[in-house]
Amino acid sequence: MITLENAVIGYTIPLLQCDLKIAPGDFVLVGGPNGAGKSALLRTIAGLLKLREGSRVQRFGQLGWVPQQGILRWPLPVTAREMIHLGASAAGPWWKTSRKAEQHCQTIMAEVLEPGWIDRPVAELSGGQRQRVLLARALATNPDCLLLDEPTAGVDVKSQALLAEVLGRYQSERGRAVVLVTHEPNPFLPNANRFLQVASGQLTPVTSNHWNQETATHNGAPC
Amino acid sequence: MLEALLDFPFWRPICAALSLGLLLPIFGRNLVLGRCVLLGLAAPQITMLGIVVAFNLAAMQWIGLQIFQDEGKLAILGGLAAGIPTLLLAGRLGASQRLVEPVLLCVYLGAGSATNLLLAAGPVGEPYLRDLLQGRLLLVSEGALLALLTFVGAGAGICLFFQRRLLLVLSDPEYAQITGIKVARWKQAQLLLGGMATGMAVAVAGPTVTFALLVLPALTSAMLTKSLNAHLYVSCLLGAVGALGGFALSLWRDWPSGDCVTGTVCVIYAAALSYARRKEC
Repeated sequence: MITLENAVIGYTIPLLQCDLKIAPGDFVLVGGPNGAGKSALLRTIAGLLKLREGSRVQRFGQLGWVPQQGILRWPLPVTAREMIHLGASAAGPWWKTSRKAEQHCQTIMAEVLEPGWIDRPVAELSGGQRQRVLLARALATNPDCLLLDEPTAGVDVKSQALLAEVLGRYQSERGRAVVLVTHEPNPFLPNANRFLQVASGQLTPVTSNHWNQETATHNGAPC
Repeated sequence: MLEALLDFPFWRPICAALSLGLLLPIFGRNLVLGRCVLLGLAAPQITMLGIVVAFNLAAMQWIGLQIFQDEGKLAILGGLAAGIPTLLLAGRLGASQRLVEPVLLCVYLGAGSATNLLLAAGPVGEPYLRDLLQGRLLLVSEGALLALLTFVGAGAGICLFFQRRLLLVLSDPEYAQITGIKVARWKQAQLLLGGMATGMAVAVAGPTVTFALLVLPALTSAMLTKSLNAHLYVSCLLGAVGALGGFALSLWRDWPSGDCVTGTVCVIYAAALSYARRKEC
């Protein structure tokens, strides 16, 4: 689905060199300290960051994107429902929403959001609610691979559990891939089947225990 | 009935004010969403400079005498020739992620000074240009009104037809790019339409009327509404109220229409700001 070969990743200076293959059904957790290149890796996979010379990237299928919450600082008012419909329109023709896409949006909204705040402006929602709106928007395009950048930052435990549950279903029932960047120990551990650690310019596969321990260490927990 | 309406002395200015008030906020909304508010201020000023340059070139016989004889056509030519490239170039500047706002501010101030200096040089058609600077709603001709309705109306119609894609591309370009949308092309198309509308509006009604109605109604509406649909309707409504109110004030007090429309729209903005602040408290 996504293949990075000899990829040199970074903004102005190279941060990370790696080879990576993501297949359908993979649930990949990427951890590491701040500034190591986790978000740069995700942005490269998404095609937002250009690869340096000699690198190759191949992508198949539709990608879904859940950015950090800062993106929700829109200069205009928008409700959660409008945002999700706009997001869903990206996957279809620009002139209309098909009945099937409309039904899919309704299903996703029922699954991820609560009816009480679907028609409320996104600016009035809490951090956890906004993160759920972003997740619903990404899922509305029915992506083959979902990319999430720090989805649990500023989100309460209840919302974290709901995000984990939705992502787990999306991966196990539909066989889609999930790549999730985080630097906190989180509720996605039981869902994940691959763990990657970014450190010292390398992307290393690790075990879940090692990943959890490393992540806790980066967060200042005693070893 | 139609004859009676056409005999009414102010039907042309009222139609021009109403169409500008209803249609320009549609383009302004895209500028606000694309975080290009300053461009909404700079573009009409640069377009005005283009019109003054066109008059100066015509006086020097650079542009054919035939066009020069009709000041309205010359203004439209200058307006479109300056308005469209201005917005497209500003879009490229934004795409290259340089500091757009200081550059726009500098160009805006430079264009204002250059306009005044060129006017001081006394080009032929100077009274027309001075009228345009103060707002020319009362003097709109039938031909100019038709051209305005055609260009600005068609541009607004296209923006509304493609609005879902435009809203997505302008509000969250990264998301749009990841889902496979050609973001740069959509942005260029939106700026091309905006440039066309700005060029035509400045050439017909003047820069003050244009920048009052382009961005301010969209900004005012953002404080009063809670959804994208409501925002669109309220923007157009506020634009129309501001344009007609300003025109009525200019008739009543015999003041320049451009400044009256700008003043009215600013008062509406201040009232909305005060209302929003009170609501927050």
